[in-house]
Amino acid sequence: MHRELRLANRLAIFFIGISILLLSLPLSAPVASFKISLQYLIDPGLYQGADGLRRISEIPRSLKNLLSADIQNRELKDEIKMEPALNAEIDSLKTENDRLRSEMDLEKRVSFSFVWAQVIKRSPADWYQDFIISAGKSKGVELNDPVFAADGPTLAAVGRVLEVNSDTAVVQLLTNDLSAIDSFIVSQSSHTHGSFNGLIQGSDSPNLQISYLPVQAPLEEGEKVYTSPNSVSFPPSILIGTVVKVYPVDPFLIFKSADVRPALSPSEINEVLVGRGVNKAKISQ
Amino acid sequence: MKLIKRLTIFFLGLLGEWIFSRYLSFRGLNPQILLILTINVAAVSGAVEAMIFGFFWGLLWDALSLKLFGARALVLTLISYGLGLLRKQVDMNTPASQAIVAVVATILYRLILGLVFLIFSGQFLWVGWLVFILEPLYNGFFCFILAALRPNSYLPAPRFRSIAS
Repeated sequence: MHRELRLANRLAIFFIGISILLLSLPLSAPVASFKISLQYLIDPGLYQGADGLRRISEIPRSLKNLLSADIQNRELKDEIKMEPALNAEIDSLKTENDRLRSEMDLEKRVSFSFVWAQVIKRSPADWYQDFIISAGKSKGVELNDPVFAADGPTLAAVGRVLEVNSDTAVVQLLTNDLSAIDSFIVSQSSHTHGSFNGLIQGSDSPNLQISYLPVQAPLEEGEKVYTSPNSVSFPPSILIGTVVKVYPVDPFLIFKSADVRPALSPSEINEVLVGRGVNKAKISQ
Repeated sequence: MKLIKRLTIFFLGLLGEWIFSRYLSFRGLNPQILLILTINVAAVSGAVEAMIFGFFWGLLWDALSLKLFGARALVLTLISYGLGLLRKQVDMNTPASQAIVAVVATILYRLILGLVFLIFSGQFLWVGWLVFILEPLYNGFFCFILAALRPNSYLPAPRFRSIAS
């Protein structure tokens, strides 16, 4: 009997000691984690229930996404069905254009191909000057090739290839202060309709400047600026940007100038299209 | 075999406490299944076994409750020890005596638990007068039922010996 009592006493001291030790410990992260793990093992219903509720609450959203994906899929399938017809129309227009050009003794249109590339490096110090893309000589990129980016469904000019390496290339942006390309504006003014050529120059700032426009050009804010057919580097009629400010005519100058906001800011460009063979075709002409 | 039976009772006790506290609780009033089982084990098998059951039940229940870790383990150990000593003085083998012991033990359980919380967390754990008054009666009733059903066939028969023997 004494043995049992001694054992009970020792066990009581041991368990009470352990309990007090556990009570004295601060609820530090390991103890809390242990408790949570133990709670999960013994009482997983709480966690499973929460997870189940979350899954159930997500069902309407998932179902909505599924339905919208299905609708989009059907729309895209319909668009794809239209593609052969559109291609046939483009081919027939090209043929007609070439035939008319040859009848009028005009030069043939420049034909070129594109290569996709990603912007892999841009320097904060040269934000409006240049960036590096993931396509180089290995993909057929050459010096002075024009670089474009998609502005929604529209293609916009971004810059030109300044330096080519084996797998990368440096693109000089239109906003670079050394960049200058020939451009034209189609005036939508109610008084006068017509197109005016000018020179688009960068200024290491968000906006471009177009100058050498005729003084009589009825320039208005919001008008679109496109690449000129006279440009050596760029194919014609590619969007450059929008006129945001027209400067008053200086009586000592014989031309007009305006600020142009590029269609795409350098910050918005992540993928670009490099137009291969534009220069060769233009030079050969 | 006895070990398997003891482990089964151990986990069934936890499950019972969990079910009663989660699903059969009315205004915080539910039978303290672990306390009732500890009393039953102490009455039938003695302080050593009751302390082992009580300590580990308390520890696991503390882990589930995410309050003071070790508080219930300490209180159930103390009650088991006290009941183990009391068993040698009082006949705790009848349902009525176990029910009375359960009433007293529940009051002590609540008071000691409150004091432990006061010492270690700075706030007395007060469950409210309704629970404090009705819970001992509720526990006593459940303890009476449990003792009447005698689910302790695996345990040795109670031995009545004087404390001096």
